[in-house]
Amino acid sequence: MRARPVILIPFIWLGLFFLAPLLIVVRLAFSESAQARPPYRPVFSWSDGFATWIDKIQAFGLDNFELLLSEPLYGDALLSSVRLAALGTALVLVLAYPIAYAIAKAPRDKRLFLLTLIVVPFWTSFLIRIYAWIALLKPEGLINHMLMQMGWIRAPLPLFGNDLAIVIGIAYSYLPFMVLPLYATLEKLDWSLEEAARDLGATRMRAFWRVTFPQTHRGIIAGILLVFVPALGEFIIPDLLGGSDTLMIGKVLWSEFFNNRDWPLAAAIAVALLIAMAVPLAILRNVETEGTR
Amino acid sequence: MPLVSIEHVSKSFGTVRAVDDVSLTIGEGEFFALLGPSGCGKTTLMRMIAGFGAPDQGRILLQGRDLAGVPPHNRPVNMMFQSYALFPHLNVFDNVAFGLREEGVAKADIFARVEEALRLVQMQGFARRKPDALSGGQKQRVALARAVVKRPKLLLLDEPLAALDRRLREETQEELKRLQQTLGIAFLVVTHDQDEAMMMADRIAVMEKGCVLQIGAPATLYEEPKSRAVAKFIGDANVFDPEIRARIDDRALVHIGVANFEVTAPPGAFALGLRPEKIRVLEQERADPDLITLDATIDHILYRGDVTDLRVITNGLPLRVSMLNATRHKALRLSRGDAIRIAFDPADVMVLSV
Repeated sequence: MRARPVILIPFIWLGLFFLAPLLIVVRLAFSESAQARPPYRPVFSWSDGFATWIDKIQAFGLDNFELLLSEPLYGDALLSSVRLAALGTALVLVLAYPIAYAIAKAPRDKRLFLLTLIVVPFWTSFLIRIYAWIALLKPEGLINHMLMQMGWIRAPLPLFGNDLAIVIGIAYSYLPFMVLPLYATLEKLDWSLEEAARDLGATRMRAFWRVTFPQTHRGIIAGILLVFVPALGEFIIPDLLGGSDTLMIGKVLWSEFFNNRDWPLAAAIAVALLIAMAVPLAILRNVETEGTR
Repeated sequence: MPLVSIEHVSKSFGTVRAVDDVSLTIGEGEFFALLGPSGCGKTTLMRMIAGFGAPDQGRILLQGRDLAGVPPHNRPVNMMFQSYALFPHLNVFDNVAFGLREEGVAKADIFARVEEALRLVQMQGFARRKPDALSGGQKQRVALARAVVKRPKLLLLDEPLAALDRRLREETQEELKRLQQTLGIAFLVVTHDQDEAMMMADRIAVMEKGCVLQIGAPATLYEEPKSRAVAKFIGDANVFDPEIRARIDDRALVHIGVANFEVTAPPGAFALGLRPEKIRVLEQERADPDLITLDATIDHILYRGDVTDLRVITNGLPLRVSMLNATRHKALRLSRGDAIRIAFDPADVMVLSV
């Protein structure tokens, strides 16, 4: 019984800082835009009682969502976000797996140091690091400059101001979020299994694919969730590295909120994004539970 | 030609010489054991045979072919790991079939051979189970089936029984021995348990600190150990540093406690060993004149049912005596502090290098 208050703390935390803001955003999504301060008129007020809410949803509340569905811009932005976030996540996975594997295989006393090396760059400001990528990727940037100096290319490669730059930005920014769960899974593996596979006739490569890799699906799923979900709503990376034609839902949301001052529509986008994220989460959860069966 | 020849193999990890100039041979169809305390280098040696780690010096030959540079997956040798190393994401059938699939065996043959291997270890009904749903003994059987299904020339078993409880261990010892005879494959077992090695192996190599102390059949190691270390590691032994009273060629007149007798010994210092069960506790009977008889006091009695282990003191010299309880009341008549007479045959005294 003593444990009870302790267990309550995370619930209070979640209630105050997760559930309450979420409810505010949802309520905002069902509101009307207005020339006011704050710039909306709530359709629902907390004092009305639930019975009237349903009528109001039918009468007005879904307008913002209808707009989201009817205006192709939003759907396109979401699809484009999913595509870029998925590409970025795939690239992160490809980069992070060998890193996590190498760290897990390193001598025990060196592992913490190597993990720290992965995390240390992330102690500086996220914005500054993304700005640094501009300097690296732009046509007269470091990478193009070097490649041209070495005579490998004649004209600068289009690395900046496009989708490729965003994918690179996502891959760079979210690397630790993939390395850490993968490392946590790999570190617990019994390496004698890999040896057993090699003893039974598998080359190192095949031993990895047939024995080690299948055992790390939990780490892979955790890493994908940790990277894909925030990357989907990413704003800074597309804003700084992407081109003028780059469509990402986070950017659209930002411009609805700050440029158009349409808070209810921005809130509706946020809610739609949340639902869009819940779908892959639910699928992965299913895969996960099937895997354990 | 022996199946495996290990020639002057050494291997170091940093400054530690894990295996130090080891040479031995394993014959076709032989059940060979590497016996020694943990850290004696036996596992390192076995892993080098499997291809995990190369010798710093020396060579390992399999049927006359040097294995240097041959990766583990190309060696006709399979290993049963101490942890069993069953693949947790595959069921029993797929675990056993793993090696055959890597080899590219035809599908129909895989099925037949896996079935056969599972039958051999009496695990036919468990093909669809995942390793997590098996008991320790069942896992051990599956690991064994997986290791023999490829019909290796040599099967390596790393502490095969260490994870089993005592009763299961005894049963499995017999089964392993029978399986080895059925298959006709040479087995190399690594173990720290001398009983296990004695009961299963045709020959045993006793290892200590990276070196092989002695190689021989279990009975040879027990009855004719060459050194003090082997005598103490295999079985129980009273070991003495005798006083040498006189020497003529290889005959030496030695004195221990109050007894004087002659032994055959090489020149130089030596120790003497006497197994506890070779010492007789005399009752009323008159001792054989060839035996050396001593007066002793019982210091401690360890009753074990079939035998009684006595700690006795004879003229200040402590001795371990193992008495077979051949009649019902033999042990009951003894108690601590009793004065008894004991006897041993000088022919049973083992001469050991120090």
